[in-house]
Amino acid sequence: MSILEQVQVIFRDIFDDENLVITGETSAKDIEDWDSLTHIQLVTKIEKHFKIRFTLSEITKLKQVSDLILLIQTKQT
Amino acid sequence: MISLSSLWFTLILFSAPLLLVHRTKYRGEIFLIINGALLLMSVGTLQRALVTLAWILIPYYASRTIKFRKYLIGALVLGFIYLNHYDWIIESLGIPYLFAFKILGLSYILFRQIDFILNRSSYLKSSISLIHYLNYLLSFYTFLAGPILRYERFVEDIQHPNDPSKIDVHKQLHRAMNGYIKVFVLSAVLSIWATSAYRSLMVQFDGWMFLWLCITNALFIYFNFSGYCDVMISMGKCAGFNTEENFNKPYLAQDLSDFWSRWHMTLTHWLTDYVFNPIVQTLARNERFSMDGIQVFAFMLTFLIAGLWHGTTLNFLIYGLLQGIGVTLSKLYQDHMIKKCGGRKQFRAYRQRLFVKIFEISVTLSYVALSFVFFGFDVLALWR
Repeated sequence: MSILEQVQVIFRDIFDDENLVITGETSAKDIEDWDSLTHIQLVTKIEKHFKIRFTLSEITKLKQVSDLILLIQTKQT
Repeated sequence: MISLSSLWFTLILFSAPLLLVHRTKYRGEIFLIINGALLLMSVGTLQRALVTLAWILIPYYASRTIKFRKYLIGALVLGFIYLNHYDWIIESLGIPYLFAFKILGLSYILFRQIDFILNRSSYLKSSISLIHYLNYLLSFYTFLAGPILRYERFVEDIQHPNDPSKIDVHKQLHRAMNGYIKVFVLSAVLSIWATSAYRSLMVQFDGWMFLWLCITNALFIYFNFSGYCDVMISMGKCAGFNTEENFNKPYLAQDLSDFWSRWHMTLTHWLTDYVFNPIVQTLARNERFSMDGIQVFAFMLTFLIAGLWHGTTLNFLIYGLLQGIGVTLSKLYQDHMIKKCGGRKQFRAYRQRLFVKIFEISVTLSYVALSFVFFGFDVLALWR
């Protein structure tokens, strides 16, 4: 499974929506429930899943899914 | 001096756009002269000036070394508790006050410093300079009461200001005037009503009078603070600053977490980034804790800190606790209703019904008004 697909599984779980489809451009504007509370839930779940750690300033700078995927890629290498 | 009622300040507020938008090459320098002059006029004694200078300059140089940053923030927080005279902490520890001169605007300076220190390593080299740092801490638009800016965004506004020809100056001046009316007419009257209600409660407690205090105080705080922000944001726009908004119809919030996403929004964002998120992130690494439990704990601690940041008395501790409890309750309510309605979408649709809306807004507003009394008045004194 690609990183995007794995992230999508996590998004579907957090937002409780089995039909949710995300792309690189998906941002908080596109998902109504994506607020600061669900944002940190996403981050901690992604940290666990990919076994990586984000710093404070990295978390605040995540604006859309592509930022997240890029960050996961850099952390994994 | 840095107050809307000061003649000097008003003069500076209205002439700053002329000075700041034309000579953009020296924008930072000119802005620093204005901010420095205003600070000098308000600082008072020489001792206070020296303490202020040390407080501002030491972190700038000390934060150059990454490994010092955590200790630096710890030291700043302890220094904040000491300089702001948190008597119930300092006196109970038996520590004497030496050189504890109160620094003007320290609460906001501290939060801006933490933002700068924590992110310093991620800034572009060209955006870090002492002039930017000093302007960021001392910008008269946000010095005393926010909105709480972020360093990066602020530097962007200094380096690349809004094109003045594209700003609807008429619209901004209209907003500033509305802000003045909110502060000097509406909130002035409400303040008189609230204060006289509090005085009569001191003589004899009465339920109706307490209700009147809750209403007038809640309206006073809103008009006063949002009016001040209206003036500062709109005048800042005329000078090329794109200051973030701080209010979004807060008294129409449908639960307390909704309220905090509409009230003093820049503070909520700051607390989310630098208090709430780190707590959740750290605790979530431990498998023993459930996400719900972690969030409730993080709500309570975050709002406790927010309460204490606002003021030094125990009233602010209670204010913070009430916010923490309120946000926790609204989260439990949301979770319960999402299950009951059969999903998030269905719950959102349910909340759009007129009666549900009116009910939720009334409950939230009543809770907020009750908790805000602890913010505006020494409520604990009524029971002493």
